[in-house]
Amino acid sequence: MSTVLKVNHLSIGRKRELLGDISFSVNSGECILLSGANGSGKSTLLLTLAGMLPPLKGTIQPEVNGEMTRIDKDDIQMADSMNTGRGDTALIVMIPTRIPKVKGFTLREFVRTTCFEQSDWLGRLGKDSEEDIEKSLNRLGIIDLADKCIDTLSDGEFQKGCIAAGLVRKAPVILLDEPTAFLDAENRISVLSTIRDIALETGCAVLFSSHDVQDGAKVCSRVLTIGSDRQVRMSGKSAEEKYSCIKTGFKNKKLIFADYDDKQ
Amino acid sequence: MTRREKYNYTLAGGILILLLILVADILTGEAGIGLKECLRLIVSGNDGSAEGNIIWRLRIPRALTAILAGGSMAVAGAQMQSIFRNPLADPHIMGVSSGAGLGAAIAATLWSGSAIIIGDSGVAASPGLGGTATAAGIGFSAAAAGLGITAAAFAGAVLTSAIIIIASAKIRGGSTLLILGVLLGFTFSAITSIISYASSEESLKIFYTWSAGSFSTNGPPGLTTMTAALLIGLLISLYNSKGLDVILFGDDFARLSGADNSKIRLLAMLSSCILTGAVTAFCGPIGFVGIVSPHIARRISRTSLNAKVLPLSLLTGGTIGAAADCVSQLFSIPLPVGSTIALIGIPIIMFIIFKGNTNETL
Repeated sequence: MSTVLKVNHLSIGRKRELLGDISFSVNSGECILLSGANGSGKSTLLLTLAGMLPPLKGTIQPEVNGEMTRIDKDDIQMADSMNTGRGDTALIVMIPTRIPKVKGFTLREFVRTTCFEQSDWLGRLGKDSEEDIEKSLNRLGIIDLADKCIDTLSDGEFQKGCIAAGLVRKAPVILLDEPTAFLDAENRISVLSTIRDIALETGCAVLFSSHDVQDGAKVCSRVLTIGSDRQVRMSGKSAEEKYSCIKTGFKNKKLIFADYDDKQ
Repeated sequence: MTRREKYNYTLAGGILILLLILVADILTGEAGIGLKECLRLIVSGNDGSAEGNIIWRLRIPRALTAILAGGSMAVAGAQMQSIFRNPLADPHIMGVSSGAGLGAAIAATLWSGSAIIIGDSGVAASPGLGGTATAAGIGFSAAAAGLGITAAAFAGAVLTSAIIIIASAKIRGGSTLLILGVLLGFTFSAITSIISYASSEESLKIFYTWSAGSFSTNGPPGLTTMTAALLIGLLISLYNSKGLDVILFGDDFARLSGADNSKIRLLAMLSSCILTGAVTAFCGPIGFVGIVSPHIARRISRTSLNAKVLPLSLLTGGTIGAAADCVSQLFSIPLPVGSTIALIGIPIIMFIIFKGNTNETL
């Protein structure tokens, strides 16, 4: 198992520092839950990792062909070209939350729009990219829906489409911002287990933020929590370690939480 | 039938309907020229008779202007609806027409001393046209007034677009920009009212003739300019079409897909500015076509892909323009076409709204 993302003493924020001294590393095939309260900085962290916001301090090192590439705060230009999906060099792909189901696009057309840099000026893609789209839709089990309009899909189906859009660009790291927001129980569990399977099968690392910590903790390999003390912690692999890490995000430490607390 | 074939049939059908409306529009007018005579003149060309002059110098330019104006506003509206992610956005709503109106009002005030109103670009004032023969001297000053208004209206449209383009580099949110555009429009309308309140009756009439909207006073220079503007505007929009698609899914989504949102907005505004500026300068403010036509295009093609919606909007907009012109000619006194379009367009917009097809995502 190789490391695909290494974050060293990263400090993030839009203007002033929101979170500081963030260090962790992610291995290929891992599926990591990012938890934390509303407004704690989950989206800011993901956007910074994706190269959309410049890091204030520290480094983000994604892997290129087995070598770690360093991205410094002075290297925003590079961060842009490395991370924003330029052709095959996209190392970190991110899918934002709550993408509107715009009327008049089929699922395949929607996925195609995310391949912005690979397509020609009329939005046409090469044969390889078209095959990648089919493969991704197939892997998520939604190939039958490819020609359906996205506004007719259920929220769960569309969310899988969004994950497929992340998969198409074949990045070693995929970031998902709240993929289970507003989903009902069945769709939530279905999407979460799909995320886990994708990571295991393709070997890419998935980092997803979610408030559904109970279901999320069960499917993920580790938990990254933004604590109520503004410290970012990465848990170990055992259930106990995951739950106690999630709990650092709560202000009220006495809250009874999940099976873990019952057993104590 | 594949989606592509279906779209091609839709496009062909659209062209056919547009041509039919074009012919119908040429057939309607004040002078009662018979159907046979009309068709003969269309086919054979201008034979120099009074009827020939009416068909070739009045009705055909008027019908072509209607199509160009409707098509241009539709292409501009389709782009604005994408970049602002708002189904009701169009150049008229965004204040571009009001900016042009302010320019026209200023020009009308300045020129009123020297001109008798015809409210045109000067070409229709050439002698021998359907009884509107004008003495050369008056024709000249009318032409000066017309050209002045045209230029001033164009400048007003360009200025408004420039403000929105500059603001769009700073303001990221689509709805904030839309509010800015609406407020700009109100501001320009208010200044226009103040100017008209203070100006003479003569200049008021020049301004109101322009602001009611007209297709009938456009000559070859106007047609050439509008055609060129339409071609340039359409090409820019087609080049920008996949950007217009991806930005519909949100600013973050577009950026994360590798798109440059500022560039997409800039190109769309540039194209809309060229299209709206030309139309407003020669025809006056034409509203509603820009909102309605793209919706009809999306509905009949069952897609929102801009590479398909833009060409089809051109057809639906042109058809609505020619149809409105046709309707405005049916009454004994020809109606101002801007008002006719508004009266036809508003019920269609109400239908779109109340049918529940209006949400933030088109």
